[in-house]
This record gives sequence, structure tokens and C-alpha cells, in this order.
Amino acid sequence: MTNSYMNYEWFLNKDFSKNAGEWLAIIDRNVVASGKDVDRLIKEVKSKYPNKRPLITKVRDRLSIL
Amino acid sequence: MSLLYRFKKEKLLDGRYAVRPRILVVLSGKYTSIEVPALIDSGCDTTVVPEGIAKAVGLDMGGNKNKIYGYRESSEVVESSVDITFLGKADRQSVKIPHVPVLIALSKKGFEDEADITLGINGVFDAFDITFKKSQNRIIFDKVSQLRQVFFLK
Repeated sequence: MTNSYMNYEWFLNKDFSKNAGEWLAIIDRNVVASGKDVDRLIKEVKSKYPNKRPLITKVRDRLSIL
Repeated sequence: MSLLYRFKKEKLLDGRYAVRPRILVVLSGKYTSIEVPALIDSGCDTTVVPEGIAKAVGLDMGGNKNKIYGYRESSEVVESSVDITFLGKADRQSVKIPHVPVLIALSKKGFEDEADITLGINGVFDAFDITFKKSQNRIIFDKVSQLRQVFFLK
């Protein structure tokens, strides 16, 4: 499994309910930043970790049945 | 060349679980590249990306404005394109599809951006033959040769 998928599986198996409604930036199975404004979040992470490609995902705050 | 993915089991807020065809892709624009989970949706004509992500990655926001309609809802969108990399088990197996047409879903005042990036038919289903095997927990992406794409698009 690539590091990318390890990050994603790690996210899916952890409880992030305290971050409901927030976007998370994950690098090497660590949340390196979180917030409601995804544009600002990505810019902040890219300035701190210019050589990393973060996983950006949102913690749902409502029931989504597609 | 084939890429193999699995359905993802996601916990819903009411404690139940849903199993969805969601895969990791890399979106690349003029500013940066990020990895995002994306839902494969054969009922969606065009890939949809939330505005916040489109802006941060550096997608062109100057395209035609339009409106898309979902179940009881509509969203303002801007037509654009993005390079999408479909991640393989190893980096060398990944497949980059340039200039995939996308609709950027504009944020509504007072509402948060949608979480979902939806992979629609245009550009994605032209580049891959996609097979869903739910009973085997497999989603298979077979790369379509460029020759076949040109032949059938004519």
C-alpha cells in the first residue's frame, strides 16, 4: 500500500468527530492542519511543507446518504 | 494497464456504515498538487470540484458559468479543467490524465463547501473502462488506449 492510501485508511479508521465540519490536511498519518476554509488550509500546509503532497479531506458534519 | 481499487467503508453520523466507490486521486493545478478522496459516479456527466479546492490548487476560474441540478438542489458552477492522477499501488503505476473537464461548484454565502469530489463521465470514463465488482470488493480501472479513444470519440 502506498503512503497515500495508508494516510487515507488511517483517516477512515480514526474518530475525528471533534473536527466535524472541518477540512483536514494529513501528512504521514498526522493531521498537520485543520480548519473550515480549505483554500487557506491548503496554502498554509504548502508553505509549511513545500515538498509534501498532503491528503485533504473533510470530516462530515451531517448525515450523507448518496 | 489496470489499476485496482477497493470500496471504502465509511461511518455515517448515525452510526451506520456505507460502502462507497471512493478512491484517492491527485488534483494538479498551476499552484500545487493535493491528494483527495473522490467518489466515482457513473450518473454524473462531469467531474465536480468544490470552489475552495479549485482555488487553492490553481484551477482556471474564468470559464463559462452554468448551473447544475442534483436531487432537489442546484449549484452555480464554472467550467474548467484539471490534471488528475489515478494512484497505483506504486508511484510508477499511477496514471495521469491531463485536462479533465471539471465543473467548479461555487461556494454559497453562509454555506460550507461540499466535501465530495465527484468523478464524472467526461474525460474519466473516456480514459478508463471501469468495472465495479462489489461482491469481490474490487473496482478495476482499465486504461483505454489513445487510439481507441480517438476512434470512438469520432
